[in-house]
Amino acid sequence: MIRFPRRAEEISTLATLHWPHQKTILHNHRHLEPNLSNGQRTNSLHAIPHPQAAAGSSAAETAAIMFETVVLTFALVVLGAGMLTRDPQVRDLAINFVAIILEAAPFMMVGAVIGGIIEVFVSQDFVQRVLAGRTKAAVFVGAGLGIIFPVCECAIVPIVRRLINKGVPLPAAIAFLLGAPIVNPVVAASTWLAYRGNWGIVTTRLVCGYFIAVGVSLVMSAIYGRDKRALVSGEASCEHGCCHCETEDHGGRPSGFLSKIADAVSHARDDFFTYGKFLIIGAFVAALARTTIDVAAFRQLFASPILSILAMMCLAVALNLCSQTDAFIAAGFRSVFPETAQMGFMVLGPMLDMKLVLQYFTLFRGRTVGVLGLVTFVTVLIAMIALQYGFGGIPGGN
Amino acid sequence: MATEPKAIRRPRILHAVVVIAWIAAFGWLAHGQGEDSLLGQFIRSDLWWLVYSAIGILVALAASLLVRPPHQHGQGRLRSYLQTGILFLPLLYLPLAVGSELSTDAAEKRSLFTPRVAVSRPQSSSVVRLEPKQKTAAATTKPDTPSVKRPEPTLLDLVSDPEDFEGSNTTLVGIVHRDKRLRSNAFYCYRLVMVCCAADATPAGIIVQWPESPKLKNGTWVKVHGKVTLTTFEGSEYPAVSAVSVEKTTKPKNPFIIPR
Repeated sequence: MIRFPRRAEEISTLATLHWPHQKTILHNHRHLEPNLSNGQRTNSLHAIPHPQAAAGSSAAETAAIMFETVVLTFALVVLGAGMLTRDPQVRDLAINFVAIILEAAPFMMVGAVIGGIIEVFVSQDFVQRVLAGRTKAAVFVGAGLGIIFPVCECAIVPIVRRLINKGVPLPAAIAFLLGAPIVNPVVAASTWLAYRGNWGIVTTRLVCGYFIAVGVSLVMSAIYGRDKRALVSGEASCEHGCCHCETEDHGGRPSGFLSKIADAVSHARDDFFTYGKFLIIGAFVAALARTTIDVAAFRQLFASPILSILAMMCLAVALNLCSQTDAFIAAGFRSVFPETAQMGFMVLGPMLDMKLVLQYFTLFRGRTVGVLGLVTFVTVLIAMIALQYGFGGIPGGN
Repeated sequence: MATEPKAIRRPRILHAVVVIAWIAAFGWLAHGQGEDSLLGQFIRSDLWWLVYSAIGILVALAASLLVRPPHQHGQGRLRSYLQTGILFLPLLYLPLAVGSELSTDAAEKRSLFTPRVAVSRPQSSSVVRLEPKQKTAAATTKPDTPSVKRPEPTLLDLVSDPEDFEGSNTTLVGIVHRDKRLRSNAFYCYRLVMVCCAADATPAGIIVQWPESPKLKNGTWVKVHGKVTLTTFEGSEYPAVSAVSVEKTTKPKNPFIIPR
């Protein structure tokens, strides 16, 4: 039986021992929540992770720091070398990189603003009323709920954690987790723009996203049922990037409209900083690939559609792109890979990439994350192969 | 504010620096009208509203820093600096990108040579697309009919439907690419077709037969006058121009071809 600490001093000590950087959260919460009662404060401290989760998070934190350091150093070295040697390839890289950012970053910002507005203005009780208590029906509703709540995968994990904590069935929460970042109007609009008004691509992406989310959820439901051990023990712990809205009341500030707007923009800003870096890393890797990969050579290497689909799915996992912008990156591969491979990239990416996997560990146990990842990957692969060989490509595509 | 703890002040300052730098960079790119705007080098003009929207959002984000401190989510100092460094990356690459153009090496890697049979297929019609009026004119008018005056074919016309224009005169502006696989009296003249942004731009061009080709340098902008023909290259049929004159010219303000 895990004993949750009661007193603030005890909590502070625990946080320092098991998750040193968590101490800053506690500090910030106190700063933001001067008027909370003891009961409320105790509730807010549920964000303290289970020790095992904290140890895992510490390892993930170290890995993330190393990864970001390597990427940043590499990018700076390439830039420096390019400026010294005037290498045309570095200029090509710079053009590709800036072009992708100019196109993708605005969508990420719009998504962040919408996420902030939802965070502040949409009641979680409403979502619960729609989903809770009807497991099978809730799966089908949950997978399509992104139409009403257009959140990208960057913002989805904290919301899902809240839903699970409030009693939403696990399969429904997974359906929402996987479906909402694809089945939403912002993603539809960006895909439509990236593919120059091709409704076949837009429709296929949304339909695939919905049914794959439903399918994976039902498989997960069959495997885990009502087994709570699929989840991280105790309260779902809080990984970087979660917004803490569910555990704080914004410092007891007046809840007027303007104050809520300020809160929404503040959330959008935090999302911009927390997730903007993933977009930039992804854009840099994509620009690097665009600069160095010889299309003709790549065509020969991945002459088989199945290999192309696999390659693009692996790329989606590696690039960590936001679902609201990944269509532009996928569209950049038009002359390289078949449309089913691009579709695999656009369907899998919002469900499973490196930054999402890290966040999934804040919701699920390691084994559950592994099963979820495997089932999702295989389901998307089967769907894309079925599209390629059953329909001869994307229905309505070019 | 005066007693604001370091844990709040440091991220607030870092965030402010990043947001203001992004506003300045986006504002600089968006400055100017039409072809004078630097944005044209990177994304097509009907997507510029995205950048304008982003500037508005960034201003709002900057303003929010005055009234709400950043949530740090337990982020340490090192992670904060790393985050700031990564968010600065596009801005550091920006000066190198502005004023540059994609090299002939980049064009070659994006499949420079497109056989005639390939471009006329529907699969590439979204990339290389004729304007409806031009297509109608091309379809209804025979190239050698002297009584009907029609506009000279553009590069896209020639790449899409070269057989419709075989034998007709043309004037093209494009970039020289001297490919080793071509004969010494020929070069490849291309321009990049931008669908959304520079990263997805793909080359569209034709082979130009010109005796003085060896004198031309890769990456030079040239104006070609000549007659449209078809030629065989590596077993496939390609559109070509038998040039009467080839002269160096300046780079157009917008070097990309933007299909509608």
